[in-house]
Amino acid sequence: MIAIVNYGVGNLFSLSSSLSAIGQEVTITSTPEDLKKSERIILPGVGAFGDAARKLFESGLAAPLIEEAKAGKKILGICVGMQLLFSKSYEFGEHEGLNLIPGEVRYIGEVIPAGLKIPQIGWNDLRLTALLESNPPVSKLLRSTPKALSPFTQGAYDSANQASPWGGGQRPEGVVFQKKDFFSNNPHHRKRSPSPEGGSDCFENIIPNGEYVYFVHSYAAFCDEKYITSTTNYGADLTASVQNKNIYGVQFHPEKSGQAGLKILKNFCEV
Amino acid sequence: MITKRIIPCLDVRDGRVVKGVNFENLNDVNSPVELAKFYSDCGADELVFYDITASSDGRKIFTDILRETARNVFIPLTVGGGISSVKDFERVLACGADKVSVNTGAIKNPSLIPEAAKLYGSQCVVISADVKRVNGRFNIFARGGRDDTGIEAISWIKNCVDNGAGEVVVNSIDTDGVKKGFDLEMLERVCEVVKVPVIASGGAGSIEDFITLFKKIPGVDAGLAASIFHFGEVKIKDLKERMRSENIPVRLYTKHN
Repeated sequence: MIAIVNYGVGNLFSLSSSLSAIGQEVTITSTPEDLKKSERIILPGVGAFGDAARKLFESGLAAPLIEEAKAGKKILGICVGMQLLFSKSYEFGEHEGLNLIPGEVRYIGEVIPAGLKIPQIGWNDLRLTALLESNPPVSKLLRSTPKALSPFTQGAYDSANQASPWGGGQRPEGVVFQKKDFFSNNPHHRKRSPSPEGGSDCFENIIPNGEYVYFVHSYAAFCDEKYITSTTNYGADLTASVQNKNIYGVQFHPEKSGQAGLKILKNFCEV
Repeated sequence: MITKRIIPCLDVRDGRVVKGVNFENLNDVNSPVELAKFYSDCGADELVFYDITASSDGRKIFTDILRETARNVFIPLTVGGGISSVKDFERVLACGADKVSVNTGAIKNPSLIPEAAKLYGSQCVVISADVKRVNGRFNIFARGGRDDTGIEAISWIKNCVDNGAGEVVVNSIDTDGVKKGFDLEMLERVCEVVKVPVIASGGAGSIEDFITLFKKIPGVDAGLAASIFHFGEVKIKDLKERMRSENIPVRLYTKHN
């Protein structure tokens, strides 16, 4: 059973519907007992960080959530729910988060060029950091089945089965994994050559690099690159998904990201 | 890179899609649920449900249909039509809408946008402006484009955004239904004054019209249309492939099993 933490923030209808659509048993809960009983926990959230954090701490669910996290339970934070996993946020003041992932949440206006609209609203593509280097390993959240790949990305899978992601197989048009994507203006990434072996491992069975998901956010997580499993480019590379052992987070809305989003939720339910 | 969005709009009366829709492989062409699924599978980035029901019975059916759609379609859903109070926001949000679009309600009740933005966040509040040229300026029209309010449109839209609207749909009454292209002049004026996403509506007749829109007015984030999609004159898949070939950032559909 998946527990969706209900602490009075946001609309949980879509999230619970999408989990039901992938065959999961869901409980929307605000009790520590349910969190304890559940196999996995999803922490949703919309709106401002400070408001959400206050409601989460006031609900009395923060402590049991941290307890479950420390006990090794799989937890997925979505959007502001992901941001709450971090140490602190600077949205309208300075606020403490759950501190399950070291790092902080800051205004994207600090890093993106002036003139871009804030919030970022819409579909943007994921760049999987595991393709750059074998450490960290690709998050299981972003795994996909081979047959799931579209005609646009089938070649990506074919080449993944070769020794190197960039060797063998024909790169189909429209697939975004030119090397330059990973080396341009990315503050999170060390500039080193991708390892073919590691790359191959990581390439197998993942959500296609360049997959589009739906974002609505003005703030983003800034943390050590070892926690970042994918980024998205909006004038600058922004953290799109994170993982710290059993703690997962996505800045985008998987419940609003079509089939790709459902797949990511399904992966979480199976990790 | 963030992509330009393609948004089909469904007019719904008493729980059925009006204007008729003509697609193969669709058992019930007037079912909003079926049609929403169909468009989602074709690669639509978002859907707008516009409730043109007049009666309260119809409203009830509409929310039932909305709930059923939101259970089955996992892309953003925007709901408009008959939104005049915070209670109306609550009603459709509880049924799975992600955004609520306000039109006449915001003209009649100027506090609606700031109140809704405070309660649900700006990302949820869309201002939908029906705009028409009157004596050399742009005016806001109410009641589905029937009444000239005499309000100057560009500053009114800016004011709505300043008050908390997180997106703007600009529907040009002048180009609506003409199928000769979007109202580029009007859209450019709106893009100059707002810093939130702008959605172009009214006038699309061909794939070419979308290409022109996105190339000429880079500030426009999305194109919305109804009948050309419903009648299959423009197929979303073809439109998006063409956009990609023109180097307009676009999300191509990926199927996962």
